Amino acid sequence: MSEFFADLLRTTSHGLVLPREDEDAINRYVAMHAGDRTNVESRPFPRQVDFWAFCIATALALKLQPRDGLPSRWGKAFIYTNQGIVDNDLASLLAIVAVAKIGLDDPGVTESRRIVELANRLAAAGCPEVLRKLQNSPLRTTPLDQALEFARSLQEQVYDDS
Amino acid sequence: MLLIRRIEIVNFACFDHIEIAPSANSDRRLTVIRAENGSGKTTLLRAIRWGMYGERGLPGNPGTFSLHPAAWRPDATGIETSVSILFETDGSSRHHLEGKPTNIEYELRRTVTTIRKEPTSKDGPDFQRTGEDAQLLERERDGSWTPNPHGVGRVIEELLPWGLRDFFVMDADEATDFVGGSENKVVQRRDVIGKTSFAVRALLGLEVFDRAADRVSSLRQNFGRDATKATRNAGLQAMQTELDRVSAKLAEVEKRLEENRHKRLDTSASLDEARGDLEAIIGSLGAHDELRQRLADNEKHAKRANEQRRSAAQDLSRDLTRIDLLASLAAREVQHVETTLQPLYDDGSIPVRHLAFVKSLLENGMCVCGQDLSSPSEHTDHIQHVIDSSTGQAEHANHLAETLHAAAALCRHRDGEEWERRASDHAQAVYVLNEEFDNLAQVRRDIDARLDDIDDNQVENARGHIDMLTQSLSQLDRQLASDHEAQELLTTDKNKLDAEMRIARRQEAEARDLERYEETAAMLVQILQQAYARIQDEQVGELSDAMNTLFASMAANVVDDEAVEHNQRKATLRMIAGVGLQPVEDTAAEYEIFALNSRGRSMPPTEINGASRRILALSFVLGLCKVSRTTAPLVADSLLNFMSGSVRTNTLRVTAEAANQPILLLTGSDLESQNEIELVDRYAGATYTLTGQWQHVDYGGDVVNQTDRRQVSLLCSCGPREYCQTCERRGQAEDARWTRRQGSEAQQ
Repeated sequence: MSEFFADLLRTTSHGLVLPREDEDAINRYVAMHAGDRTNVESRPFPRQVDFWAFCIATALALKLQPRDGLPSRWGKAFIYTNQGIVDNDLASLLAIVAVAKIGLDDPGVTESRRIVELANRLAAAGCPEVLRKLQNSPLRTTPLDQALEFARSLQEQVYDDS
Repeated sequence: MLLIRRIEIVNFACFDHIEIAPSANSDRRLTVIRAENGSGKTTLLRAIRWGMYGERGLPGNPGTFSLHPAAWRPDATGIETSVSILFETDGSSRHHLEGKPTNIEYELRRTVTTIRKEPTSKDGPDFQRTGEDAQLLERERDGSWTPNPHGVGRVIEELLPWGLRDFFVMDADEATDFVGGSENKVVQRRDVIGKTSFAVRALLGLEVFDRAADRVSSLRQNFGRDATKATRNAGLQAMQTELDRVSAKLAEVEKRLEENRHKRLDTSASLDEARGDLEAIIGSLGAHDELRQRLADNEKHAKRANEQRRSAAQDLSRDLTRIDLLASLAAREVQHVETTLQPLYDDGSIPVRHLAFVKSLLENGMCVCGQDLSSPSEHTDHIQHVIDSSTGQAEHANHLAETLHAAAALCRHRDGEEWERRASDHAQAVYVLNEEFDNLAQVRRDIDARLDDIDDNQVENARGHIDMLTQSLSQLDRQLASDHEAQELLTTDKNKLDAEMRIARRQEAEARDLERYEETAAMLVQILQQAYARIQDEQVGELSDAMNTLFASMAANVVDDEAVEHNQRKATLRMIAGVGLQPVEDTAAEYEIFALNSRGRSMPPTEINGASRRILALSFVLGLCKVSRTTAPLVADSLLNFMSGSVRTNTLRVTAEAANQPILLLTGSDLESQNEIELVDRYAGATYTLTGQWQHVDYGGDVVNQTDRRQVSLLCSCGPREYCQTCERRGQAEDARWTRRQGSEAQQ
């Protein structure tokens, strides 16, 4: 099976970044980070990269503009692409998003640096929305329920748009 | 036969002077004395008991019981209290059913003088009794009265033995001792057996056989000893000494056996009681263990359900990371890229197909125009230049082509249906498992609550007590087995010695006669023992049947009264399927009353309710009188307490029919229903009403007229639905069920 995009990202080291100011809040919903893999209902995202990917998808669904400025100024890298954290499915989706957002004629659209940078900025744009949703869980609704419900509502919104 | 003709009570507690003439009519044998609670029924019973038995007839500690009528003569001294009972016998007995030609009339008169004194203790009596005297007068043929030469105690003990007082003067509460006591009193099983056995043996005459067998057995031993002496044979004398030693040891072992049997009975009863207590604490041991087991099972199920639930939640969590979800959320971008790149792909721009073609020409070494490209030439250089200058464009185009392929692949997730279906399945699984987990948690809370209700310490204590008693019982069983063995060995030794000695003595002519006597005595002992066993079996069997019949008659029709009877009482009464008397296990001379439930299980007294206990005790008393042909009065107090409906009616009817001279002390509520009134009308030859003057309206009671200013209880002859100047109570004059009895005055 071709690992074209995964290999593209793996060959160079780029940091996957999330907003520094939300670090504590994000970590509350990531199971692996807390070393607690059992309580998935209160920590619905297995890894930080899963939260990161969900934030990118959220930003796209809500048509949010990528966050301005260099990610190194507002973000904190939690892992690097050369560690092979991004699988080919996610990498290809990031490449698609890059072509859609940067434009196919831009020579930089095929560069892993540009692809990851765009992904980081989109993740930073979606992150506050995801956190807001998770933090405002009604009583007796778990963050997992809330995240799933949010995903469904985003799907509906995208479906309606198209 | 013994019948009471008259009872006269003077200056006894609340009685100034009353006189009762019980019915002597053989067709209407019942006498009813109606009195409301607190009017003197029990005092009347005590007066009769005191008249019969003196001090020991008084309740509790007789020394603190005051006979003195302090309530109405508080300052008086030197008052004489007396009770006279006039009764007659016709000379018949259990063994001689026909009486002697002439009846004998007796007057038992007991008197005592009470003198006021300063109390020596807080509970001490204010009045001291002095000069108690009892006289038994016998009426001569000429009508004169002379003192009986045999003395009061002996004759009364002969006619009305103290141990059988419940058969003559019955306090129904005390009579329940025969069945383990009333609901407010528990009597030890050994005492119950002792009391029951005494009554059975005394009234059935069984002790006569016992005494005769012991006496003849003793004679037999003496004959044997004399026979040995008569031989003047030293060897035989030595054997006799050994025989006496073995006999003494055997007696000792038998005595110990008897004691241990009693101890075993007590321990067994305590064990039953302890088990009952434990059952009361936790419902049953089985229930407790079952709850524990259910709790363990529940925990196992809950653990499994929790693991499944966690696994299902992890599936749900993984759904958040699925590419189909991300692709559906990025559907616009995916579609846009596919739409944009597809034409480029179609026209060969991505990847750059002509470049690939040119490369293939170079690799093949032949141009489309036919020139050789395998060796360097201008044409070859040109083609190589074209390839080199297009390298960056080709990589870009390849990337876009890969992007298009990826977008095409992800496009199928555009509507998110697959993700939604899978996530819904996972969510449903979590929901179901949540429900199951909640249900299990609820079950656990229920079990915990039930277990909380059970006091573990109490259970442990009760179990410890049961273990201890079980050990004691097993120790006693071992001791009994060992004693049985010793008894058998000693009996064998004794018989062997007996036999050897008989053989030796047979050689001696002088001993022959005595030996014959001994053999005769031995046979007589055997005959007596066989006769005893047979009579015992027959009479006890007959008594058991009689009790069962009487009990059934009194408890009958309970089923028919569903509309009026209280369900629980009805159920409890019906639970007793049979009653009777049985020998106590492992003994031949002791008996106890038993009750069996519908499954044939023996019911302990604690499971029998108040009404059933009373009718069971009454069945025993009436049955024993019938089987032993004891014809005597039955003065009974509180007989119908705790009874209602048909049980009360039946008990009154059976008592009126079965007792020889029933004198019943009843309350107004005992005679409330028309059934009881009709029974009294039918069976009663005499009726009385006792009225306490302290129950006058002026003192908060409901007695209308105060016919005597003193705090005395007055007796009138009113029946159960009659009233007079003395006994009239509020509302009776206006109630159509009551009639004024004319022409009567209160007796004082």
